[in-house]
Amino acid sequence: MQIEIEVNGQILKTRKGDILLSVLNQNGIRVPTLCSMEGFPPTGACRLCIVEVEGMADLVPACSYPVEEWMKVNTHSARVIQARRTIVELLISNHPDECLYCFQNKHCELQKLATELNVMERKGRTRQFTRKIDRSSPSIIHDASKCVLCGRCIRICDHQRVSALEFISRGTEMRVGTVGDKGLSSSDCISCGQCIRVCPTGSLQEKGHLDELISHLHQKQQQVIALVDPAVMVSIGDELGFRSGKDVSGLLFSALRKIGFDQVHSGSESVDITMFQAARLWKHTATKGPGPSLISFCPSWMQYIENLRPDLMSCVLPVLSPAQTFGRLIKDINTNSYIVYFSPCVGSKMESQKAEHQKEGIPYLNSVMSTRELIQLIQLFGIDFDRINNEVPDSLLNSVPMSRLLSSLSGGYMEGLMKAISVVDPDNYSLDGNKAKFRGPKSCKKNIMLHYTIEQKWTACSTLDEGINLIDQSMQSKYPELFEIMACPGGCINGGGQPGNKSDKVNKPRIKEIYDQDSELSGQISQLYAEVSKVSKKLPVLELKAKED
Amino acid sequence: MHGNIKQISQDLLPGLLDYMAKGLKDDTDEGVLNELAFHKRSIIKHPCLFVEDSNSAKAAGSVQTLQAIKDWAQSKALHLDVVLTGGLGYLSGQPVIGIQLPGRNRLFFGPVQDYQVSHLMEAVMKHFVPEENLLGQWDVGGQIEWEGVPYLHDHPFFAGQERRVLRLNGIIDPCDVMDYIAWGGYNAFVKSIRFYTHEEIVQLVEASSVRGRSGSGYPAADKWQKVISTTARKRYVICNADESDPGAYMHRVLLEGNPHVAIEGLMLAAYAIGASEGIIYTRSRYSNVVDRLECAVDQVRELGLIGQDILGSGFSFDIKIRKGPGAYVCGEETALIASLEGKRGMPRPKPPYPAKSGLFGMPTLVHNVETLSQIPLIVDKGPQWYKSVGTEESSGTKLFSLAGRFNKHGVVEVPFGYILKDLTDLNAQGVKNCKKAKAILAGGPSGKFISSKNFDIALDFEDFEKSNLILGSGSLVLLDESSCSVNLISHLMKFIQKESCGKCIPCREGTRRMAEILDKVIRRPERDKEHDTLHRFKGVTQLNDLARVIGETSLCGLGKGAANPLLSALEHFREEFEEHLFNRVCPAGVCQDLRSFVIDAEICNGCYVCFSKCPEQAIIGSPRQVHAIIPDRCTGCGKCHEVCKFNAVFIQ
Ligand code: SF4
Ligand code: SF4
Ligand code: SF4
Ligand code: FES
Repeated sequence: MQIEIEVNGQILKTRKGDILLSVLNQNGIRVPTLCSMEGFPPTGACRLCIVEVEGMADLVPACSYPVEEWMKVNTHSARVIQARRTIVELLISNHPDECLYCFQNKHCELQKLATELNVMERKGRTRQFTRKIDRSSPSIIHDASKCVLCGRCIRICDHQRVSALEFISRGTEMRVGTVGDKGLSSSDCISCGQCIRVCPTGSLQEKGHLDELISHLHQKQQQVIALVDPAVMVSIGDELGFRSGKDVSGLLFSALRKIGFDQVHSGSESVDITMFQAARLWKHTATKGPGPSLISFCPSWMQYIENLRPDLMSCVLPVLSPAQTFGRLIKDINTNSYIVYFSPCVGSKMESQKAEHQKEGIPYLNSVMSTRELIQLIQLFGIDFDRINNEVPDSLLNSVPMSRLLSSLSGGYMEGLMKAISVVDPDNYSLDGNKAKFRGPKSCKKNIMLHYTIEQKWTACSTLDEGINLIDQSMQSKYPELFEIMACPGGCINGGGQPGNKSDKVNKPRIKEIYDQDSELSGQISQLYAEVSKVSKKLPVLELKAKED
Repeated sequence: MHGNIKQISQDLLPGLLDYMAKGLKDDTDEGVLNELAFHKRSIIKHPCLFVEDSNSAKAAGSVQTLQAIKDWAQSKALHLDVVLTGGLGYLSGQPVIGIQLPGRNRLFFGPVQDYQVSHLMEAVMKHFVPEENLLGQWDVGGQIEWEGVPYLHDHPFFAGQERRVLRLNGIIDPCDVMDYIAWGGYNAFVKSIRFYTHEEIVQLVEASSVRGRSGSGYPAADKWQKVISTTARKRYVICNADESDPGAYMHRVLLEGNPHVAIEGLMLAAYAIGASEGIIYTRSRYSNVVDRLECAVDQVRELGLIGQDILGSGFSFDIKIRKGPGAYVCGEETALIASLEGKRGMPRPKPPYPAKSGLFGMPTLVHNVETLSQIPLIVDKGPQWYKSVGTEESSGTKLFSLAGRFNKHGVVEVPFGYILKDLTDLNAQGVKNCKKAKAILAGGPSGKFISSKNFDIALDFEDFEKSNLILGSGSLVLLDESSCSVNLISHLMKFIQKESCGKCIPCREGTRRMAEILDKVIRRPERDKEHDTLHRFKGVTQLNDLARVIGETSLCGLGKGAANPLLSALEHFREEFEEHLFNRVCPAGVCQDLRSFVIDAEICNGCYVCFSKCPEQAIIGSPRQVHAIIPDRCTGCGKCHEVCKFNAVFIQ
């Protein structure tokens, strides 16, 4: 039902039952929020979105209030602003003054709120915050003192179907902790890093390796080799002053060499190698009959299986992740090298620390750094991207890459696999224009693939919840089913190590760029396959170990 | 008596149910009548003893009293029947015992300690009623009255009370459903299920204008209609028996003495709204209540009054008892529901209201114990009778619990519109130690103060609304001249702060801030800390604004009401605040940090005791010399005051 409401003296048309906040936003009126998350039901925890509604004694939270016909709303009355300011003042009175040393400096939502609401003075502090930092996880640091208890991390973790985080105790003692309060490393955390992305403050952050890397770059005792993940290439442009989504890989390779890397590799190549391995495995598995098989390239997804669904371990096609593959290949050629993987994925930080990915106690990937850290590194070394030229990366293979940037999107591996398998098993699989089936904004893309002889179902999913449900259903399926599950929404493009919050504004151009770069290369795939076959023989298979409690 | 359910024989059951549905008729089964008389104890063969068995009575010594009674009977080789009951609600009379001799009215005495038992028993056995500790006689019906012995309802504590919900408390054995039935219990339910439609029950409730007893006084029937008008495949009804307000204990008293009345209310509500599942949410710490509820529900189920296809009516309903951790915030409906769903007990934004989308997303009716307990009365006796007491807009009676400096403590049930002054002066018999009353905190930690000037206020929703007060659950805490309001407020704020679920910022951070500011007011400044005075003043200037913002922005009632006592205290006790703030003294001498002690040189004989006991070494003096306190060292702990045998130490 169409209704009208009055906001700040202006008449807005809307529908009965719509949530006030979205009505306001659609009409260009912004009210601050802290706890609200797009796509999640409101919790009404932060109370910053409160507005004044005529006739109501209390202020009303816009994020959870449905509009009604009679409403007269004032979003920025003196009373409202005063209340919002008080709330922020209260938050700050208990917050460490460490903005200068905080990795979220200039990106922090609390900082922004304080500036917007003109909070210029501390209104008193008596009780000192207690510093409790959880460093137990190989990938994530949680500093409870910076937490504003918005609850976003808990909700996203529940959404990931991990539920490693929860609120502990009540009142002022309340904090975010892990189930049983034993620290992240003993929890079910899969290091997807999504909680870092939603955290408005610096309470959750990834474990950084910047200082260590810098000393290696300066000491020059080892060859320092960079591997740049495809998702990184379209994600750093914004921060360096380019348009959103621009592929700056050429400049980035040049910059990394200037910074002191001896070799700079593009991640696409290792993706291609693993793709052919998976294709070969699938060729056999698919003929064995119906049931699910799982692609293994998302480390957080693999960790999920180890932690929470060990029963699915036998369904995994045991191929090492692209970065680990790269690490093995390089260390094989050059034992005295120091490999740095620039990754959008916090999960790969965790993965690299696992015993099975170490050789004599030293990880194959010596250091895994997030996109955020890469940007810091570039800024630290003062590289001006306007003044450098494109360069090409070093290469392991003597061929044109196949998957390019596609692996950074959910469904990308499926597309690559389609290409790969059409070469690996040309008798049974064709490259028949199926690829569009794995594109589009849906979080799960299910497709029946018809090949020459075999009917099978391929599914790409980038929400764990839906993905797992589909896998469970596929146990009874009459098809052989292949699943590409990614732990981050939309794929690595929204990995836990990416800068900024997930939003359509930055994502859309990135996705466009990735698809634009993909071209038909069918002629060259066979040559690529021949190259890959040469290097990939020695690679071990992935081993999974169920988490013991 | 738990676990030993006195099973009614199966052949009596049809007759009993008929009696319950239709009342006493010429053809009522003889066996049923005997059974009822037995449970009413209107025909007894042996002397019968009624001993209060409740948590608070145990604390007052009821266990020892019971033992003394048994020992006495044994020593006299006398056959005594002992019935364990709940309390009459008269806490200051605990342990209460009732004595009924065959053919005579029941006599109540209290407090009766173990050493008083034999004396008392011997006298009563000889038909002599001692006046000491006598509460009064109680009319069992058809018995000889004790001449010259006052009735229980004339006892000051009970006079003026209109005991409807509480009428069987202290009278029946809470663990025997037949006791309740003997006094007309479950009649309303059986009648309804046999003769009334769902709508008729709702109409009765509507006609009675009964309002929710949990604070806001929302009309119960409106809530029911909301639930009914929501289509769903399942409906729930929840009885909130989690009494989280620290000064309130009426639900505990009510349920300990008679769990059935609330259960019957729950059943009637379920029948009216078509709920198939009822949940009684209580706290694990109320172990007595939990036990009694559990055995009551079991017995009701055994009688076939709950379960599948109840009495062949096609209506199915069952009751579960759930124990919560006992959190103040779980008094909030949505938090309670979250806790029942196995989640953290945190409120969620409303709308949607539980009546539309409650437990597991289904329409849910939530009432507290007292509200539900009204329903059987309304259905049984009719709305006209129900409205015969109370006021225009507040019909019926209300339970109040008296705590703090009242001379007598307990739970009273008075008609709405009862004058507060009567309650304090007559029922509670004034102030302890003949002190002067200062104010009453009504409505618990989110309540407001009624100053002693306004004690002529009527206890009902209208008057309270008019005076901008909060009836809340009905807890009344009396402050007298020796209580410090600032100290109380500070403690209440700390309580709220601890109990805040922590979800929303204004409540979590705001109450912390307010508690800190108040703490600074009642604490001695820390000498080694700079700017303490500055911070104290700065904080106090923020108090008003903070309180307002917290009240108008918090998510749930806990936060919204958090500042109520503070704001109301600032209104009534401004001078007291100022004394604390500017002069750094606590006029009532309660705030330890602001007290200092002096030794009266005239009285001190140099006994040396305080010198050796002072933990701060703040006292100088030598034996047989006058002692003195060094003010700078004294922390106001009061040890010297306590130990001085000659009353030479004074608060300055
Ligand atoms: S990294 Fe992912 S799994 Fe771990 S706590 Fe954060 S959201 Fe949960
Ligand atoms: S850690 Fe971050 S996201 Fe989680 S509750 Fe705290 S501030 Fe919010
Ligand atoms: S007002 Fe307090 S108790 Fe209520 S939701 Fe907010 S924090 Fe929780
Ligand atoms: S955004 Fe509405 S309460 Fe937080």
